[in-house]
Amino acid sequence: MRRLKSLLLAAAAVIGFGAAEAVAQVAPQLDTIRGRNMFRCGVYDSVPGLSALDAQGNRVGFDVDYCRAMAAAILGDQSRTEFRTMTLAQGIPALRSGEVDMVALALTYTIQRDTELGLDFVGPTLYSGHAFMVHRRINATRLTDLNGATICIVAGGITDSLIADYFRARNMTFRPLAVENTTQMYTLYEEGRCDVVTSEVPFLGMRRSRLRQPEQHLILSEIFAKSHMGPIVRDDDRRFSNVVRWVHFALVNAEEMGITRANVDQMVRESRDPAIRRFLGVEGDIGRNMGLPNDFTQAVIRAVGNYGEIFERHYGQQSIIKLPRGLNALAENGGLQWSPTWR
Amino acid sequence: MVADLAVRLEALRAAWKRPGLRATVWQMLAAGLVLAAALWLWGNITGNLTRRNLDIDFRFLGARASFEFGENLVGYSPGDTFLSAFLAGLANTALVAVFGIVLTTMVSAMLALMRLSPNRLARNVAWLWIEVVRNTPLLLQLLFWHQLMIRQLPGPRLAWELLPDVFLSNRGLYFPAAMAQPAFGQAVLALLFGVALAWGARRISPEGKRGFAWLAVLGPPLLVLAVLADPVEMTRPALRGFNFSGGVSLSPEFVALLVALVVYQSGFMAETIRSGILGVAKGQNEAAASLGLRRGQAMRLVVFPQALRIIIPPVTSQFLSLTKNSSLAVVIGYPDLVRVSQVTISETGRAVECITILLLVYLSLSLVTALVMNLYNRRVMARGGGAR
Repeated sequence: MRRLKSLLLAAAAVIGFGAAEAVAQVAPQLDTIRGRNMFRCGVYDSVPGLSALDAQGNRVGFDVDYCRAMAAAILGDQSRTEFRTMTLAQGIPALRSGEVDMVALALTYTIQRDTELGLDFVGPTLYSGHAFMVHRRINATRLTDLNGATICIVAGGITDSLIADYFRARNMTFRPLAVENTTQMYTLYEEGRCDVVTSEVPFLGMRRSRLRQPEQHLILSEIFAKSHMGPIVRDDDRRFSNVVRWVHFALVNAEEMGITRANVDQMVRESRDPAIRRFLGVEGDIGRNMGLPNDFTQAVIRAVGNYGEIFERHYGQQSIIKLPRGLNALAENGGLQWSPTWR
Repeated sequence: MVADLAVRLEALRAAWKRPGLRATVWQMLAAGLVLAAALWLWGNITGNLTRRNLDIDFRFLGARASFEFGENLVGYSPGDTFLSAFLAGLANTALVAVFGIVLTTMVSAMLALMRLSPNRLARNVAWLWIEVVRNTPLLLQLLFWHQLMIRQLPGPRLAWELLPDVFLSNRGLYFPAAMAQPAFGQAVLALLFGVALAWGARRISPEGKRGFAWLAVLGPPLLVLAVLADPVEMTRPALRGFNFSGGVSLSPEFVALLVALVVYQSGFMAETIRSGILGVAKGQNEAAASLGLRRGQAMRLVVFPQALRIIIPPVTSQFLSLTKNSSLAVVIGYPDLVRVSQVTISETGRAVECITILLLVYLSLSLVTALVMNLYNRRVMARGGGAR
């Protein structure tokens, strides 16, 4: 009996210990990142434009630059970025389990993701719309021609729900073929397993240029759903959420102020404009109060340039698809990108 | 006082030597350890979940799922609950598992007999098959079959019409079918009744005529159909727009998965069956021959029933691995249970719950298969009686 009792006591002690361990507070995310001196970022393995390896084996892309910007802001060095490649369906679980600090998979900003899944959105960093690409041989030119089509989609995104909603409202049907990743999706489409493939307009253009016979494929001009994407972080650390949101605003603000990768050093040295000096951390202590180096904006711009530079590099004139700025122009030029006031 | 203690110690020592008490103490100790480990694990799980701000809650199953699922048996469509989406995934997994198990059994029995055949061609073909499929990864074979179907078959507009109204294209196999009507369900019930009837009759008089058994099995359902069924309406596949509609279809993903599983698993199972057949004492064959049985008869009546006792336990575990391997379906886009849980996780964030459901479902599928096979095994063993 005594033996049993001591055993039970031991068991209770073990459980008690487990419980004590459990209530211990999580360290603030910024401290965790500084502790390991590495910013962990979830990106696609190979989606040209967003995240892919270039000929030298460097990871490049729009989303990749956002990861690098975060590392530059928090750790002062953009190379302290550790990329974890993942599929769309893996992104949110990986973020929630703490495997990565941020997920940059061009996820669409939705109310459920924000309020139910415990995520904070950065941006939107890219505004666009969902469109369809079809084989020219099926003679479809309008969305209503797509009734009964087989549509390839990536599992775990919201595109299948968007198509389902759009088709159901118009009494149309489709057969989905949900696959693991985008590369597989376009391969199946090209082989003719699907009639239609869908994605955001810039990504469709990017992919079409890589198909064997780009002229055999038509991107329907109608947009069937709006899309506004950005990186995400967990919403359990206000301070960290503030940092990632304001790094995006810093990129936009830099473009508004005309600060580029090329002229940032000159601006730091020579600018007499108090707004610019405050933004670059030469005056005031905005950065310090956020828990960052006071000149974090300088590090960000030295690493990746301003928002316009990132856009032009991956989607715009310096990329293959030459996407016009459109909705992604600065608000002062009629677009949707703007930054709150830096003060 | 001291003497008193010594006596007590002596009594304790004597009691400790009694095997009953000792066994009880050790068992309680072991049970206590297991319990403590389980409690610790539970504490750990709940602790970690609260630390990560996750909670276990299965109520999401009642919420509306908005994703489109594709082929499914239970008639799920977007707007139904997550629960019915899971059921649709389960039905697809079960479908491929059941067909896979039946076909694998047939194919591997044939392969095993070919392997044992005196005909050199048959023997070598079977040997080649078995060696190739056993020594390459299943995933690779699955991708191979899928690519083969998609690349080699024409698009729907150039579909091959194999038989009238049967079309094969890279969208799958389309064939006509009778429209479902309630009488079909009743006919299935009647069929079950007929089987029970035939089985009962066989119990009562084992030497009864074969003909009666057939009549008992097929009679009731045919009667039901004749009396209750409306004129049969067929649904035929026809090219509408750029796809077939109507009829019943098997998608390339389903076919590729089924073929891959059957081809792969039959390689292993054929060897199990062969070893079972070879495990029956050679004298049994010779005895059968001396009774004047032909080779086929000897195999069917004498050797195979005895081989079954050796074959069934390992074959059970191969059935289980076939069912579990079907989860590879996710790489070619066959909408099985794994696919549903992936999509559900990204829509609801309920990863722990979904993985738990997956584990429980595969576990219960396996346990059911094992139960059925064990019952069958017991029957086979009982039929052998004390013969050996």
